[in-house]
Amino acid sequence: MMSSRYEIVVAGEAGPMLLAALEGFSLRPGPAGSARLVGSLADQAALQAALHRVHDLHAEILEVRRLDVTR
Amino acid sequence: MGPSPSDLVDRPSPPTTSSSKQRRPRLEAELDQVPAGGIGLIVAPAGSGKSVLLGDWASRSTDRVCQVRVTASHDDPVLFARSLVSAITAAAPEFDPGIADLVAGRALGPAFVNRLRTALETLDHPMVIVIDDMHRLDNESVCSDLTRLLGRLPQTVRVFMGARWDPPLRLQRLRLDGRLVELRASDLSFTADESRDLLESVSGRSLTVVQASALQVRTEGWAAGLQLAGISLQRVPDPDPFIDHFTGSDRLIADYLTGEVLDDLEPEVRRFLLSTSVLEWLDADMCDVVTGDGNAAAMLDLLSRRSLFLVQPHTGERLRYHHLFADLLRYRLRVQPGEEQRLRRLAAQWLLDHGHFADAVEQLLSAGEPGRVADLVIGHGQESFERGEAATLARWLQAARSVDSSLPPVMEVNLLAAQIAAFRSEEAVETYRRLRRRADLAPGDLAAAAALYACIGLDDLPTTEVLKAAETATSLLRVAADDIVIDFLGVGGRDSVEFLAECMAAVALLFDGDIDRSATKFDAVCDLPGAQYRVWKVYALGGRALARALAGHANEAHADATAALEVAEANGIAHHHSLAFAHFALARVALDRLDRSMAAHHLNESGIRVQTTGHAANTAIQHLLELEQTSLWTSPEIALTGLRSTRHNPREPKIVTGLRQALEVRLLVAMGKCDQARGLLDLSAHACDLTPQIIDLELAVGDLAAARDAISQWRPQTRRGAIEHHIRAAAVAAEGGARSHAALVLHRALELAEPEGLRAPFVEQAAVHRMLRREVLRGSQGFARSIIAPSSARDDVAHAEHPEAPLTERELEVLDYLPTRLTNSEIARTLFVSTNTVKTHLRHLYTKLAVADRDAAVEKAAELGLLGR
Repeated sequence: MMSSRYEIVVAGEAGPMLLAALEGFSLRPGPAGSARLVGSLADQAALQAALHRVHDLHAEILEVRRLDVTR
Repeated sequence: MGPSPSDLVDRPSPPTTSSSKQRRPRLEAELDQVPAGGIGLIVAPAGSGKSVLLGDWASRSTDRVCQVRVTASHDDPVLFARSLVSAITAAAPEFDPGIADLVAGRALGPAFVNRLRTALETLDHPMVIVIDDMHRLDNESVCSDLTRLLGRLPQTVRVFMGARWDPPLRLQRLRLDGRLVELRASDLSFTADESRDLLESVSGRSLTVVQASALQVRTEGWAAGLQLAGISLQRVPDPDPFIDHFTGSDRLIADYLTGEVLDDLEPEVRRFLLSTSVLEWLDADMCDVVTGDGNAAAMLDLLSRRSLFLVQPHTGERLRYHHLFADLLRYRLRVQPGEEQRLRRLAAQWLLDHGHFADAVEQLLSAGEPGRVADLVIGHGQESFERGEAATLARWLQAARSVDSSLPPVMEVNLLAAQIAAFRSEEAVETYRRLRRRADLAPGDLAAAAALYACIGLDDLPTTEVLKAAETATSLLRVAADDIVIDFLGVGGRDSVEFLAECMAAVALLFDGDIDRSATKFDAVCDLPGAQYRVWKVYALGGRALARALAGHANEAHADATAALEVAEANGIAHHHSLAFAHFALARVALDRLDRSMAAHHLNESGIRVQTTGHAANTAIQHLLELEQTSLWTSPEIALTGLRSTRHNPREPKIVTGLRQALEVRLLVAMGKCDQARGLLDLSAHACDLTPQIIDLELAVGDLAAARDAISQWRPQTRRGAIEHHIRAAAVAAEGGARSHAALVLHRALELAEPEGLRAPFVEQAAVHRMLRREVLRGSQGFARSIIAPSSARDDVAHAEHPEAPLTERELEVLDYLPTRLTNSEIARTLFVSTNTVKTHLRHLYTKLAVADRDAAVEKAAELGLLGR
């Protein structure tokens, strides 16, 4: 299955809950006042679901970007 | 052992929050603006208070209210329709729950949408329909059907929907018409004053305007954030340090506050909350099994007193955690690896033990147990299959597959069976191809897969493919040991595989226009051991009935089809789509016998089932039979327009092409458009099937020699063919001036047709129709007369050929209520039986009285002196 790496930037400081919502994502240094999370997602449907989970936490999504393609 | 829950309850706790304290008149007034026939839509993130607002507003409404909460299972249109209809029925008992049987397999379908709209129109009291969690409904066909319903809602109804994000409904027109009231996140966020009320009510303490405003700004008026802040405030001695710390933090509100609330709880309460957060709904017994602590009843009571995370259930709803808070708790739970899965397995076991099969499957899927899901689906598959819920089975198996893509062949075969049963032909073809590529299939697995694949022949798999797949299955069965043929969905196994392969081969022959061989094959199919299974029996009898009806054996066809209906009725699967063939056969027989009301009845019944499957071949057959009905009783012109306005599938089976061209030529000749008819015949690649039409055309243009030539070369294969042959021979003789010979041949045709009651073939040949008319004018009686005046002859028909079966006591009882205004469900209640039973009696009554509806039944019954005995 073709999976891709994504970067999701969220306003505020990331805590354990955001990391649990984005299972498999890890926290990377990013601009001040925001949290940059990077991880792999199976497909676009998985991306949609991940964004919905972040949205459900009442976190503001600032940016989403695909980083590369891995097999 | 820790402190008992009763100790915990004694600690200071705030007053219970009843929803009345959090009422939001500002927003309720907005919802009041929704006009009759209009829609209220609330789109806002989780924890914004959508459901609470909808619940509060609805509880104040003087209209009748019903509520549906969309779940993942509603991806299956059948389940969605059943939930919707049962919710409506619960609020409006006069509503007919049978409507849900009309749902099309892959969508709600026009039959269902139209009947639902009509049924809603006739409600005697306005109704509010609340559909919550609409964002979960992502089945495109269901959404587009719902859009059509919402676009023209009757004035008796208002619909309110809650969703976390915009549902895929096209609502622009409603917006322009002013029939849509929308509330969005910004509307739902709490103002400073509202925040203060909420915080004070949850925390049980009073706050200053400054304190409340600080929290409102930090939470952006998000209800869930305020709720959590309120809970935290319950226990701090002084609010200010808490507020300062919270407003100064950059962490996510949910993260910060959930941490605060959980850290502040007694360990056993925290443990209970985390463990039970995996449950979709709460039951004290199930909670005890999951936690192993045995204190669930007291814990739930405590959570409810402290307004911790629980949703106040509406009447008839189960107690549960607020979705968002349950998510938050589960995120915390995941800190312990494997714990969530362990708890879900425990919950699944309890759910299974208590008969909540679907909920158990969902838990096992979340627990990452695809193997157990497969076992369960196989064990319980038959019930779901017969209830028309195969789409749900397919969804479960597909979900299981996505957890573990290296599933055993047995699971893939089950997935294939579920997709076919859910009429998802394209997906089924995919699955079959994937199966064929696997190297680990035993002959039995492959036989099952091939037989299932052949079933796609009912849709638009070419007949050559079907016959090949059926042959593969049959030959593999010879080498496969009995025990290794997969029992897919609990309806498979060796006998079923053999049955499906043979039955689909018979269908393929039928679709190829090889009626005779098809009928013979169906004879053999009906005798197979697999045909003992009720659903297969309905298929086999229906298929044979159709083959026989097409061949002109109306009596046998009628007997087979009626037997199929009886088997279905007796087994509670009367709505099953497998009855399409039986109704086709009965419609064909009724058309042949010029029985207008029976033709209408069976075409209506077959139409509902054809819509259910969406199968291409059946859709085409349905359409052609309807056009034939139009040509007989409305007008050939309209039938021709209907025929030409539909695009035909280039992959349509031969039988459809043959029937379509025969009808088109016949209509053109009848309308005197002989050039066009000729053009069509010249183009046709199936001219051999069109001999009667060719002869009619030659006669119409006056080319007697050509007509004679065509007759002399015609070797009819079926009874229908023989009758049509005699009819043309009589016409040719009459046109050639051999009057007495013509009368003789016509007489022979009548003799052949009479036992079967085949009248239509005589009407279809213009010259013969004229001859018969003259004979009847001269005083000819009996069958000939019934062709010319079918309606007046119906009673003769009923008595001479189909003596009416006597009505049973129970049918007479139901009959007594027909002239009243009681609905079916009201009659059912009066007689202490189910609505379905009443409908069964009605169906039998209508058949026995040879009427199409209730009014006609009353009229006929009065005529026969059956009323008011």
